[in-house]
Amino acid sequence: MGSLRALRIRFIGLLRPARAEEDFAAELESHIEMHTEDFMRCGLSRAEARRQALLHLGGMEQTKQAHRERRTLPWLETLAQDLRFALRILIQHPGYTTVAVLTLALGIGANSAVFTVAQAALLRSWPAREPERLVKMYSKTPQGSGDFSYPDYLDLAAQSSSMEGILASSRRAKILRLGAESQLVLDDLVSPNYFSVLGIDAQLGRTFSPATGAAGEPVVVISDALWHRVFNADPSLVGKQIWLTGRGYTVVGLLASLLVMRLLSSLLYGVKPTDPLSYAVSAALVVLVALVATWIPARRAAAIDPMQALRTE
Amino acid sequence: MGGKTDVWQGTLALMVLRTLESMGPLHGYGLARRIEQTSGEQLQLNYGTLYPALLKLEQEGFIRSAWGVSENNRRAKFYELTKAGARQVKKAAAEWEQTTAILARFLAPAQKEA
Repeated sequence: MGSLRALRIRFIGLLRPARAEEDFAAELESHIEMHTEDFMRCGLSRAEARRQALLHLGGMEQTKQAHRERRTLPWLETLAQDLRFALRILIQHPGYTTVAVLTLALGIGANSAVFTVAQAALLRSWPAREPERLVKMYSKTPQGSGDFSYPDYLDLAAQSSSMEGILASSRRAKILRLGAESQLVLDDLVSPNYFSVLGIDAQLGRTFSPATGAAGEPVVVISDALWHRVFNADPSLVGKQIWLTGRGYTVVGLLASLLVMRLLSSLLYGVKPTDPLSYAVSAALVVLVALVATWIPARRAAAIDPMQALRTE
Repeated sequence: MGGKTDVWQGTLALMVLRTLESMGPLHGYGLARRIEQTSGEQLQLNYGTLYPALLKLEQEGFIRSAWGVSENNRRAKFYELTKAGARQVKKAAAEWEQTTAILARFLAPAQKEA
């Protein structure tokens, strides 16, 4: 509590330095006078007594300086001085200032634009026609919150009037068998209305119809990414059977890819995301740009005559 | 090290508070002389270091100061303990006693062996 109070007083001390300075000078002077008189009583000359008094004090200016530092917040004063100096220099060189400000503005602007797009496209949005109208539902019970059971979902879907449609999905890993090899894939087990609620169409074949589940036939719809990665974009895949964790499923459709995904994979054409060469090249490029960006101003600064630099200061 | 002991950090504040508690209002010079006397002239007090310490205590609200007239009819700034200061003396003294008591336990066996 005491130190907080001290901080406040020191901050206020910044605003009115003159009075406190005079006040302390008077206090020190009276201290020195009293001490001088005491020394004179011991038989010293006035000059020698005063000298001894100052010696015992540890110096007039040193004491004032220590007092001043305790009175205000010296680092804040230094900071304010530095800021004033920086501002003065910036005003003196409007061209340089403009370029620096523009560079920063462009950099910050471009960064936030890229991240806004990336966040909206990759992190926030669902692959739906109108993602802003989607909501996610949780169940909340005294035991905690979590997912709904399938019967609960059926009741919700049947009785809800405030939602246009309610879909259910449950994600798990499955093993996809490809000839002699097998591969782990993520599989979403979804309600038949999944695609119609989300508003996603198939680029080949069809998605699920409301009758799909009732018939009990094991069918899958495959994502564009998996189609490219695993099935080499084979157009005859629709209608064939694939094996997921020991069970055969008929591929009924192939989803259209998202615009962003298509853009990204077209950029990555012929390059794996883990290609060491592309990492090395991009790192080298960044280092090169940084070197050039530091070397040019350094060279320019070194070319200036020191006398010239001092005169500008 | 010289014959006299330097005042180390933190203890000066307690000496000031304790001196003001027992002596009542004092000016800076009187306080410095009194602290030297109380220490039995053992302490080498640089009088200048007293003033930042006094300022700190004043900022913390443990002492307050006012201009007055000294015993020799000289204008001087007098310092006196506040209520918060009186509480602080008790607290700091108790803490200091505890510290020295603990340290004394560590030093005691060594003295026996010597």
